[in-house]
Amino acid sequence: MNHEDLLKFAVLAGQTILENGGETYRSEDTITRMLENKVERVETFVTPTGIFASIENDGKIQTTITRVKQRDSDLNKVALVNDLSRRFSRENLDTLDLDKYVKELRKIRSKGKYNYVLRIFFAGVAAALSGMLLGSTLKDFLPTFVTATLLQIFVTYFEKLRLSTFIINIIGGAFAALLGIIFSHFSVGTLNGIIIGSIVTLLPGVAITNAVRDAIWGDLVSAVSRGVEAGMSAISIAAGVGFVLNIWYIIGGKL
Amino acid sequence: MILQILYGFFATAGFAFLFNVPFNAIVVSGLSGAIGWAGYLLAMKIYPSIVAASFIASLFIGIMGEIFAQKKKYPTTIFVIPGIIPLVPGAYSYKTVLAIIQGNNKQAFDLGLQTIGIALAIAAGLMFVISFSRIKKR
Repeated sequence: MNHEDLLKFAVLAGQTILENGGETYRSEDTITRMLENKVERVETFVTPTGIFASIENDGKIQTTITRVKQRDSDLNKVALVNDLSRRFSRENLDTLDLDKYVKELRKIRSKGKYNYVLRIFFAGVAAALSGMLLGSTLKDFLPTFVTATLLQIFVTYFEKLRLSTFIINIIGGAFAALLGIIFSHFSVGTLNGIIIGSIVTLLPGVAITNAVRDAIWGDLVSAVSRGVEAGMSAISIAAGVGFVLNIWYIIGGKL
Repeated sequence: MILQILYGFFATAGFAFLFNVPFNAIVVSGLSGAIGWAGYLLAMKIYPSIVAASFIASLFIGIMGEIFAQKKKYPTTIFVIPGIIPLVPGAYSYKTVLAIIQGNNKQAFDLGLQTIGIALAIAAGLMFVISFSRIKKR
C-alpha cells in the first residue's frame, strides 16, 4: 500500500469538508481519524484557508500542504464525506480497497446542488418568512419574496464570477435596499419589512456557527478568523444598505 | 403564535434547502428551527428581552441539533446552521444603520449594542450545548 496515496486521499476528504461549510476541527478530525490506524503517526493542522498534514512511517515523514481558496455552503457534501470517513476509518490497511473510496470521493465532489430554480424559490420563501418572524406584516410577504428571489439570482451569478464575499454582500445589500425603496415608494409593503426580510439570505450563519464550534473544540485560530469573517460580512451588508438609503435620504426620500 | 412557529419551520427548511442539506434531513432541520423559535417566543412572553430570548432559542436549536445528529448520523452543523439564521440580528443591524443615517446617534448606539448583544447571546447558547455534548462523547 502506497502511503502517499493514502495521505492524498485523506487530505482531499478534509479539503472537501472545509470547502463546503464544514468546521475546521471536523476537517482536522476527519484526516486524523482516517489515517490513525493505518500509519504510525499522523499530525494535521487545518486553518480555514489551508491544510497541513504529515504522516510518519518507518522513520520517514511525508508532508503535504493544501491551500483552500474557494468556499461554498453545500452541507450535503459535508454529510457525505463525514459518512465516508467513518467507514474508511474502520477499514484495515491490508484489506483496504483505496480505489473504491477514491472513486466515491470524486463522485461526492462533483455532485451538484439542488435544482437552480427551486433553490431560488426557496431562498425567496425563507427570506419572506424570516421577515414575518422578525415583525413584518403579511403585506410585506410578496415584495420581500420578489426582492429575495432576484437577490438570490444576482448572488448566484456573482458567486460564479468568483467575486469576493464582501463585494457580493455590499452589492447585495445595496440591491435589496434599492428594491425596498422602489416597492415602498409605490406603497407595496414597508421599507423596513422588505429590507430586513431580504437581507436574511446574505447573513453569515455558517461563519457564526462554525466560529463558535471551532472555539469550543480549541481551534482558536480558526474561531477568530471565522468570527472576523462573520463580522466583516455583517458590516459589508450594512454598508451596502446604508449607501443606498443614505442617497435616498439626501435626495429627499422618506425613510 | 402557532402561525409564528409554522413560519419558523418553513423559513428554516427553506434555508436548509439553500444550503443543500441532504433531502431526508430538511424536514428535521426545519423542526429544530421551529422548536428554537417556539423557545424564543416563550422566552419573550416570560421576560421581554430579545437578547435573553435569542440565548434561549440558540440553546434549543443547539440541543435539537445534537439530538437529531445522534439519531440521523449526520454532522450537527447540518441542523444548526439553517436554524440559526433567522436569529442572526440582521433586523437590528439594519435599524442601527438606519438610525445612523437619520442622525440619531444615541439610538444608533443603543441599537448597535443590542445587535452585539444578540450575536453574543447566540454564540453563548451554542457554546453551552457544545461544551456539554463534548463531555458526553468522551
